[in-house]
Amino acid sequence: MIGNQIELVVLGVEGDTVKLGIRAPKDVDIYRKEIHLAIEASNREAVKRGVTLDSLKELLRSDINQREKNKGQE
Amino acid sequence: MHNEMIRSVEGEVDESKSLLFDQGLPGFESLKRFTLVDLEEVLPFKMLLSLEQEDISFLVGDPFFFYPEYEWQLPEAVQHELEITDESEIEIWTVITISTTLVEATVNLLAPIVINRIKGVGKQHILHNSDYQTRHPLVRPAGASGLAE
Repeated sequence: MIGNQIELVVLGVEGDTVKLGIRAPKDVDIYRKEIHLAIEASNREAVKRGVTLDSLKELLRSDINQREKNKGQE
Repeated sequence: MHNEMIRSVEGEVDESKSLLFDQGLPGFESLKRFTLVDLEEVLPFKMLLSLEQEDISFLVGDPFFFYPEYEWQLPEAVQHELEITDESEIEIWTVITISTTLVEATVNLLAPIVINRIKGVGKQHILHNSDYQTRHPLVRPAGASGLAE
């Protein structure tokens, strides 16, 4: 067993060669596929930025300044 | 937006610092060549620019700046894929989604971008076995502690 979902099965032996098969529930594949699709969707959304570069820089600078201030207060 | 980006980073885009993403990025599998550029002196953020498609760029951030407790194991298979021989070669950047305000911006902690800066290769590695999500608030709400799950 590999983990608790995937099983290696010996399908046959011929001389020096061992044939291996893999038993895995389909839901493992489906789960990983769903996650992959979620990452794709997230990336596609991420390229659509609604702010201009300059206002983005402003936002980022003020965010960092705020964090520094907050740290000073801890 | 991207033309504005290119104008402001002209002269800073050094193609010799291009990064090869052998599998592209999920959703952008055909784009293999990128470069990371600084946003002036604003350090925990960079832009990951496609060198092949002008209008494709990702705002990325240093996840440990926003979530110091962020932690996961890099599988050996990925270390081999990215020819990593030492931890010092690794850079981790996470994709930020922002529409108009930073308060609503989110960071993808489920699929960090792992770069071997010495070899100039990278990939977006999906943390399938973690509880991280694609949308963690970039700006953690006051009083919140730990990573929301």
